[in-house]
Amino acid sequence: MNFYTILTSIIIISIVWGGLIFFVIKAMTLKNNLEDDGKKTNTNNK
Amino acid sequence: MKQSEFFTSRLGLVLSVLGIAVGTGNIWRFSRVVAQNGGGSFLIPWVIFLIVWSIPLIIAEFAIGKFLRKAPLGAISIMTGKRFAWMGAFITFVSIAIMFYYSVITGWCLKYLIASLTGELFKIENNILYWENFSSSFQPLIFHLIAILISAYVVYNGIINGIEKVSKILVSSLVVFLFILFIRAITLPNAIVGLKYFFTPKIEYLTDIKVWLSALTQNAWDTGAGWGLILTYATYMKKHEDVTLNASLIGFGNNSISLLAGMIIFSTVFALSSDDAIKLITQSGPANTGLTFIVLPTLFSRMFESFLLNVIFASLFFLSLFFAALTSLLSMVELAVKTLIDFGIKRPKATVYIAIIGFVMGIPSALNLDFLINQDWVWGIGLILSGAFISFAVNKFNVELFRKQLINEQSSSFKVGKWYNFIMKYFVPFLAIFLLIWWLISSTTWDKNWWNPFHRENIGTCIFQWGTIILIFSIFSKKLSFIGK
Repeated sequence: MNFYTILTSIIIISIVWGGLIFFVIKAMTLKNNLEDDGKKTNTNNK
Repeated sequence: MKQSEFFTSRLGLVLSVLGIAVGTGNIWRFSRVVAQNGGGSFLIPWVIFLIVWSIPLIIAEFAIGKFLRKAPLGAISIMTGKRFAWMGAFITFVSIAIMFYYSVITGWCLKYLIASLTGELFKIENNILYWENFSSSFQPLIFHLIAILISAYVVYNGIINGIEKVSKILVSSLVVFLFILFIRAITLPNAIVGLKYFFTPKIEYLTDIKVWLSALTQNAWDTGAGWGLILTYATYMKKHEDVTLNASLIGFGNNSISLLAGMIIFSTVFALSSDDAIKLITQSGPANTGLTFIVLPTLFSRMFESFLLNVIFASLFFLSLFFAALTSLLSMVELAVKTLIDFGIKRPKATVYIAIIGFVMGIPSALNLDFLINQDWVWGIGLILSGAFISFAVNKFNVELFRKQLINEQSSSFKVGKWYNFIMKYFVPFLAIFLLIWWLISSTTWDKNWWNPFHRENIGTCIFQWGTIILIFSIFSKKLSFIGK
């Protein structure tokens, strides 16, 4: 594989899969806040 | 009407919406378009358009659905006013028209799943003949009926017990199956040649406008942005769910699956094919099914020396394809059902109506491949118009207000900057118009009688069918907007 192939694969995979992993981690860390919010606001939804 | 059902968790919401975005296009269309557009050269604009087209439109759909709690017909009429209510009706109609033939396609995937599970697929001597015999028989009608019945049953059970429960199982299984296939594919001898082609950029392709337009088209069709489907699911998201976070998860999640599927296809085809691999990947075949239903069954029979392992891996592939198609079909049925619910019809009754209409209207596509190809062409291109109408609705509402109040609301952890205003105000409408013109003009190269409305794929048939629908909806525009009152 030449240099540009490796570079492109690293860039594409980093952005697409890296982006997904970043937002999954954020979703997991924010989940606690969400659950807390949910508890507080459940009555509002009902 | 007060919203009574919500997705129970973020995982349920994200997997359900990911089920919309991940469809057969991620598996069979993506690889073909990558191969046609110079491998790695295509991936660069494809990633750029994910960020500047798909994610902003998905954000808009999430925000509209969450804020207005109405299907596209009601939501767009509230945002744009009575005069433009026909736009919401058009978006709704396009997705429902796609549902009519997508159910047939889901049925094809089911047929091939059964054929691979029973081993029938490996006893075939001529795959083209097998496909032709199947598609010209009455069998697609039966599989279309099964597909519509399964999806109607899920939607009938509602959001929590139906869509959320099923999507959690199907989408997570799909990801696991694709990973198993991925590991096998990249460990095949010679798989590296396929991966090399997949990732190698060619400068001459990067400077070709067609490659950029193909990348935009792939994003427009593949992520589900601008269809109104995400908007429909967003009506069931909890008040404190984050719009931008969920939209980004969907955009990156969808394209991650495309990337995975692309690597599986390229590795497998380059490793197992004795012919010209690129030719095999790029051959579109009838209704773009050449790669999936004609080439891959042959290749799967050569994956292992063991017949049983070949059956297992081919079945995993077709099961993934069927799950991907079914979860997308669910969202189309739900959009139609939700539209009727907005009109005051109860879910069970609405689902029965839509199942009957869906089956009857899908019959021509099930029995006639040319009809299906025509519908795929007309409403596939119509989706670009749908995306433009959603951006129009955001602008009509006031994009700055939309960003501040609907996206960056108090509970939002991710704030969207002013760049969003530029994208929705200028970039999306400009690209939508440009793309539309490009596709329509391109069709003149393969059809001399481009004006003829009764031809399969040309401008004439698009203008005729869109025009008829828009005319009818424009006449009834004020009546359609009653939901907004």
